[in-house]
Amino acid sequence: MVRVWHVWGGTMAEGFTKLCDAFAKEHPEIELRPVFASNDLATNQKFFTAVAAKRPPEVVFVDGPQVAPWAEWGALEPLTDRCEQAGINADDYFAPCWRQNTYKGDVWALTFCADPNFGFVWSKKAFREAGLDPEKPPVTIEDLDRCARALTHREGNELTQIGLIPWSQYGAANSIFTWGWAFGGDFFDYQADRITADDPRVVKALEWMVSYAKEYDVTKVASLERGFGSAEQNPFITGKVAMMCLHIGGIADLARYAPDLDYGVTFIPAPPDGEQRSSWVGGWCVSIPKGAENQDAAWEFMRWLCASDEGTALVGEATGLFPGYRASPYLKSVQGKKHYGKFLRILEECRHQRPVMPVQARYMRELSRAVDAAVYGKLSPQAALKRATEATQRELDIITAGSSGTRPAASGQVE
Amino acid sequence: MQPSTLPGVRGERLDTSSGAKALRRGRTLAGLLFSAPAILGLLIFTLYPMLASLYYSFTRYSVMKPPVWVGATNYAHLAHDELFWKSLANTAYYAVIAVPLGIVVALGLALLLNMKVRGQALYRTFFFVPSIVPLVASSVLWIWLFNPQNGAINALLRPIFASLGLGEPPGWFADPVWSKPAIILWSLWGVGGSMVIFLAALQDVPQELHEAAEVDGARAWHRVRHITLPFISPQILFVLIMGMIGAFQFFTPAYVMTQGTGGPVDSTLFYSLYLFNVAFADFKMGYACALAWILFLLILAFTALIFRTSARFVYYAGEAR
Amino acid sequence: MAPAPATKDGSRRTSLLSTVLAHAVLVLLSAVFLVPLLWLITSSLKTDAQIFKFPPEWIPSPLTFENYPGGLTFIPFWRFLLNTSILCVATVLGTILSCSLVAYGLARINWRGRNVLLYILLGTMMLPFQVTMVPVFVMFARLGWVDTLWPLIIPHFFGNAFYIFLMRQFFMTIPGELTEAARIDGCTEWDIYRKIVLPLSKPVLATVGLFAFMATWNDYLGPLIYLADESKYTLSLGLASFSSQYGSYPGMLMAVTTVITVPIIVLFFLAQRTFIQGITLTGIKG
Repeated sequence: MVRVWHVWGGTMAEGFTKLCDAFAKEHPEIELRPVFASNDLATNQKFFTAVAAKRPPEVVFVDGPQVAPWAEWGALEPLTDRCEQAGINADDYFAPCWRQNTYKGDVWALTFCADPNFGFVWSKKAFREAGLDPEKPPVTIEDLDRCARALTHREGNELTQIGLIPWSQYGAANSIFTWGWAFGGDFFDYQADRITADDPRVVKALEWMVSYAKEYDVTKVASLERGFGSAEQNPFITGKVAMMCLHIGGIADLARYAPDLDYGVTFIPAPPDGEQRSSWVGGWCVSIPKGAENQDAAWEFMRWLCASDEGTALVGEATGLFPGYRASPYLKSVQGKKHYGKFLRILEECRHQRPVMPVQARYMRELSRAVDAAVYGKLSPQAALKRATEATQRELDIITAGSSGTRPAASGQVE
Repeated sequence: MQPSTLPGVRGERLDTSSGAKALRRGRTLAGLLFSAPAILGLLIFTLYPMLASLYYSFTRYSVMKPPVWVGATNYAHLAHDELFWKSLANTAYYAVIAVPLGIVVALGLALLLNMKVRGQALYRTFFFVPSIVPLVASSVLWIWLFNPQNGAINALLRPIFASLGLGEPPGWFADPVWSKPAIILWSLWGVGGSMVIFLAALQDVPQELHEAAEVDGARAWHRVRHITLPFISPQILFVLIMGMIGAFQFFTPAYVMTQGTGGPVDSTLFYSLYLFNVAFADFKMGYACALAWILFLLILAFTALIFRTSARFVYYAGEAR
Repeated sequence: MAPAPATKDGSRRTSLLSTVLAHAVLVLLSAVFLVPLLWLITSSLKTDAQIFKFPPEWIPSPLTFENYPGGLTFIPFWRFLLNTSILCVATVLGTILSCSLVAYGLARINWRGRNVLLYILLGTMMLPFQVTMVPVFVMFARLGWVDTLWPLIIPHFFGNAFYIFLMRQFFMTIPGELTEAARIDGCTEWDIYRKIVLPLSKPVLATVGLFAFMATWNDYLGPLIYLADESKYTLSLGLASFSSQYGSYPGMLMAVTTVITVPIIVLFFLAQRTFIQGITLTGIKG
């Protein structure tokens, strides 16, 4: 029996069930028991307690940046030997995906889906109404600022439409990652094991974000994004925001909630001295928890799901997300598909993933706080990012001091 | 034979004659027997985990690896932890305002609903409803209601503010200054539970006292103050203490409505949310246990304080002898 | 203090005004308090696209009923309902039984150490659950009870500080003369508990029963931590599966939530008669 704790509820539930059924047909000797466990703080509690009590599931879904911390803290089984035996190696996956899954010289997870973050979308209708060319999305930050100004409409004291909310791209932390890399900065120095959130280019990115907060009054903007609160009601759908960074899952959302919205997908704008066609990879991975009972069967399932032509193709069809497995036939099949094709090109140029180190959760919270503080004018961007750097570095140092083992060599760290 | 008297519990004179001793022994035995379920439960489900967590607070512990003793490091770290102080301040703010406010509103509603008005059964149900609707379903609504530009609350407030020359109504969850008041306002929807407790308590207030006072010409408000309130003071004490304990551990609604960020600018970072993150996102269960024990001691201190001063305002009709 | 108005007209006028005023306030407040329920029900009758329409429409047109059959088949609703019901009945029984026993001992028997026990019990509520649940879970795991309903039921038979304290406060309002008289007559504590205190305490017992039922009905964390097999899941866990980071089914979520919530509302409406009936014991209560 292979118990699988997965995150595919809501609109993805049907797709995941299809995946499990397909596997069950191929492998009738393995009994799959999928259980929805959404990977938030509460379900993390469920998972860690289960591992501690030596009663974990056989397979667990791990968020990309969580692989390193969970490995560090003993929640996962190393998969290096299994990968070697099965002939799975770094070349089989997009580089950032593989980097996310390796920590301290071992492989700890396989990539289930590789989300290219982000595709930059713009509302052609809004462009037309503002007198901008709907087929010419902004390429540089200067373009972007110009378009944003034209696309921001006010009615008296109220903001009825805004061009872009830079800090609202799926959370403050993800926003600063996106723009920080686009501006040419970086967040972690692997050689020195140092947090680099106060990298001057990252600071510049945050200063640019804050300029929007100042120009458009952060409280008014914040109320636009808090229209309804949860993921699917992003203001691009309701027409409140004319441009935004879109996650690949958003294509399906737009099709469901705003099928008539005429929009385009392009690369994220960047300053000329920044990184062009910038993006970073997110997505989910699959691992075997420490102490799981039927690890061989678990591996069979994982391998089929993440490293086989058949499994990964089905993942793409069933979820609408991209598998991380480069050779997957699904990827070829979407090359010409509207919007998806663009996202594929973004994925192919993708160079980054969030820092692979144990204090990832703390780092993301500190980054989120830094953006918050800067946008609300409580701290300067420099001071805010410095605070985030120092706080996270302190935590990282405690761990490095306490644990043994060296970081993996720089091979594979193509930055 | 003169029984020697000793001061006992609460300064009452303790009769030490053998008959009295036997009676006391019998009572103690009876008390223990009735309390047996709780005592057993305490030992099994509470004492052991509490001691375990106290031990963990002196270790570095990631839940999945064995704990490593670090002495008082965690507690020392607390003093310099900006988020510890911030979250404590947020929680205290919430507790000090929301708890008394909630009592007043719940009591007011209960008194209102205790009057013989037609349809009171319906009204009681209506007021209790928000306590029943699961937050996962209603959180979307609350966020919309509090939306500064389009929400119903500001739609109502805007004309009032304008006529009073106060400018724009508050930004609620978009504004670090108003996010906690928004949460406090939201928490008032949930007074149904306390209201029900007060309603049940109001049934025990002796009617004749009210009737006698009415005959004497006492106005309704006086009757409430001097008859009703003292009689339900035990339940007021209960709601006060439970409210305070709950307020200190409050976080789920804030978590849901601010998507777990504790924002904006840490204004909704409550103590338990911080603790939760430290324990299950940062893998610092040891530090989380230290946080927990500090909270425990604080709540203990406040509860003791309230109990100490409660003798002055709580009246028990059935003081057991 | 001026005497109450003597004239018949005077008194009628005053009471009419206060009645109208009271009704006005009640209606206004009811509207405010009912908003979440109305939202819940109207959203359940909308398609997902309609729910997020802005500005929101309170009466959906057209009405959609498909969320109900959809939601009730998306999850194994009846299975979850059965599990939840079993849990609720068991925990309510265990709670009322154990808590009333303990509360009686704390309120009606004067024994050394009763206040100490009360304070210790209250103390158990002061430690955040996040840090106590790991050792407790490990303990249950060693007993082999993980992925069963036992960890969710058994602890309720050992009392719960919240309800014990609540009942204790109520029990202490019962006049002392009643129990003293019974003791003098030779009744044992058990008799007094069963024949005097319990019958007089219907309001608080009903309150505790209701609260315990609601708490178990809506409990999410307990079942989340202890149940690993979907066949044992409860309704609250089922609700969670309508949402995910990649997309939710808010319409079905609202529909199932309505189905889950309405019985509690009905339960409350019926149970509250027990609160207000009060107890008739000559001269003591009205």
